[in-house]
Amino acid sequence: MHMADALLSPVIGGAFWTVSAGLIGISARKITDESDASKTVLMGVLGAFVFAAQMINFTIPGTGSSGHIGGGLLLTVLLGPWRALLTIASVLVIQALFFADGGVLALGCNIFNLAVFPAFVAWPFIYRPLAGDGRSPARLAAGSIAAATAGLMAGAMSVVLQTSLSGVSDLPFVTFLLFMLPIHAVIGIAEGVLTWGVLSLLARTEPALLSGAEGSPRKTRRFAKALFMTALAVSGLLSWFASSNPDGLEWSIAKITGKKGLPTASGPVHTLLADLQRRLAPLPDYGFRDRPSPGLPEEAGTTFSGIAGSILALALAGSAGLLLRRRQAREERT
Amino acid sequence: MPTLISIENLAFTYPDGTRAIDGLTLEVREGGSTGIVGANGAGKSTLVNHLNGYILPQEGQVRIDGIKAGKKTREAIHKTVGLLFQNPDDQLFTARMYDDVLFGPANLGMDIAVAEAEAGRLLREFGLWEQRDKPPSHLSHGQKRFAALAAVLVMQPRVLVMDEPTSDLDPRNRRKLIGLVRNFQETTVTVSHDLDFIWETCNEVCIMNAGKIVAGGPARELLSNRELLERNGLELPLRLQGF
Amino acid sequence: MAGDRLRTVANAQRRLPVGDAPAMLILAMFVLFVLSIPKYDLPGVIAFASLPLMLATAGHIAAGPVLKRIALISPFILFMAAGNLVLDRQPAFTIAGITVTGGMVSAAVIVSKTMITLSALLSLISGMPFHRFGTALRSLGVPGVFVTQLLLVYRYSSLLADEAGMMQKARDLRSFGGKGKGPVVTARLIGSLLLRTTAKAERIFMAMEARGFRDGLTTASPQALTLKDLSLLAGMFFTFLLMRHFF
Repeated sequence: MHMADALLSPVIGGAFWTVSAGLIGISARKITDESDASKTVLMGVLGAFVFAAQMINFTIPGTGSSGHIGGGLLLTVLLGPWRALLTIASVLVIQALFFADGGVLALGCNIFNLAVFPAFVAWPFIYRPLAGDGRSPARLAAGSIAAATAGLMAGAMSVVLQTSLSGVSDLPFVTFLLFMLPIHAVIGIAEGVLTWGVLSLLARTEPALLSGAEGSPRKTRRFAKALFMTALAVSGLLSWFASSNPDGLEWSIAKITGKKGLPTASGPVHTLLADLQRRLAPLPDYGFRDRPSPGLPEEAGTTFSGIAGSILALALAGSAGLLLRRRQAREERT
Repeated sequence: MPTLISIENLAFTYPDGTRAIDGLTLEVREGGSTGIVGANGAGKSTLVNHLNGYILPQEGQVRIDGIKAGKKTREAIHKTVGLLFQNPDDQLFTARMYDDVLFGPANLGMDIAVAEAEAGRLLREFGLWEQRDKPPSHLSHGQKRFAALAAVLVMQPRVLVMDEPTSDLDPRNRRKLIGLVRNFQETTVTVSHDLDFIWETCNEVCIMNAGKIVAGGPARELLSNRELLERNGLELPLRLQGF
Repeated sequence: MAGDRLRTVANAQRRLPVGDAPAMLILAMFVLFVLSIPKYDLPGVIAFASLPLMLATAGHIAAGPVLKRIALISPFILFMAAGNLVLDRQPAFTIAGITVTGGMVSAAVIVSKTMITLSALLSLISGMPFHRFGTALRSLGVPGVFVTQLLLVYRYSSLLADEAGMMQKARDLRSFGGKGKGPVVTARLIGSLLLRTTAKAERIFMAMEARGFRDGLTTASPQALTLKDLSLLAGMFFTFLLMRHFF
């Protein structure tokens, strides 16, 4: 799902823009150093391919609804994480600017959500350990489906975080999460099946393409860890500053009517959801449920939530990968 | 006339085992216009790829303007041979047609004023000057074909190789291309199924079959030889079939 | 491409007295300012609608296609706006006997911000042929590799989209009652499109190499921002600041 401008606060949007721009810069430098002209062409044409492939619909059996491929994981398998990042980013830029899909500020978030997770989390930590060189169909299927699902769910989680931290939408964090995650799990599985189908066709006809992502996965993993630490630091710092949305309502009301608004009972839906959230969320309204110690400033709660959010995202992806890797190791021993 | 292209005993096998070229020998003289014809699968495309140095000979030798084709001489060959691709979409890859035409000269380090003058002349001759700001995706097939031709000719190659130049050209554009090619000063090599086009534009013809040149000689003579053509998977040009 | 469809017949000339790169920076500034407007401040948002309006009239951009495009607001935005509508029932004020809730105001703000930022974006882009866009990005310091990437994606997406469309049509003509459209068949379709694409990429690379391609498609040398550009940027910045302050 694409993030949109109107739901972002400039601080959050700006932060993710900075991160995404930085990653694109690093990627561009690496690619220029490698100086592989044929890969440059391949990247470009594969970007166009993603556009075209997204036009091809499939129907989800049993539901009648249709979907299309995203392509992030596929691109990473074919091009490696750095080139995949640039390619996905280029598609998103064109979608944002020429199809008004997403938004200018949201571009930073979208690039992060849709490129970083498949390329730097799902591919090195889940796909590669599972699918290996792609020769075993079962492992290829497992790797594709697991990686695609994890990547998409992590991306969805990121959207929820970005929305909640921005404070424009009133949708409570947990409600939004409970809505997004199951949907993206299903979308992820479909994406995984599609990716698997394409990769297995390639394995039969042009196996050389499957090793397009050269370079040691270990290096990518080291980079991903560094990226994660940076994300922690940034989200921690930023959520400190992120406006918890000073109540502009009263200010607006005062301007229009000359008197303050009157608090009244809220509607039943709101009460129910607010109640649910109060019970479930360990960090209601981004603060601690009960102030852990009186001396702790209120902002500590926000910082903690920012950090917690980052950890949660990686934990989701990483634990899936570890679990699957352990199962694979067990199988190999028998 | 000096020999511009000299190929001796060329052979090439694709990784999947197809022996596309099997002992081919060919000579093209400067100023000549040679047509290479053959049925599908005869090896024409593979031969074309050897002519601009994209594929290097596995066996045998390719010499272009005296330069032996090899890894280090590829660039020199690119300057000598201009290749008009079968699909102009593969050849026009920028966002503005005019930029595409100037792409080659810019990379070659040609004098910009000279390049722009030449580009302007060619585009006007082909009737494309008004379209120069358009992105290639907005041009018609015919316009793309001629734009690609301009993009190749602007580099002032000594040999122009054309791969199926009349595919997806309407009759009027085809006629226009015939007229242009007949007036070319450069040496040309045309690979085509369009035997009538070859008839009108080439003085020499080579017939390819199973990776070899099986016959070569004056165009009109060979193209009137029904048995020879049919033996090699071809037919008489339409103009000779009594239509 | 949608951007192309937005252009009126007589175009491709620069219509605004602003360079491409400064124009893009002003757009970015504008978006940031609009998004910084507080959650319930509808008057503030409406004030900022003046810029796209001015752009549209100054640039002779046909309002029709722009309006049509922004009318198709993404379902996600509508869903989120509706969310606010439902969740925030706190009455804010009454007008002519109708109680307006906080949710209505914030939903209206979300939708208006979307429409305003989108129309500003579309007005700018519709007047900018893609090759100028690439040059502008270079002058803003975007790496050449990325600009080349954008150019290639732009160049080939409509072509490949046409091919994909034809393949899908061919598939649909041979599927019945939902059979033949499942994910596995679709994967095959995408797979063969991919194979054709990689073969095409090889040919394009060949064509590029044959004309001396080394690293990039960006031939025009990027212009740095002039003093005039910088003063314009500063001017717009303060204008936006004042607008935010007063509205």
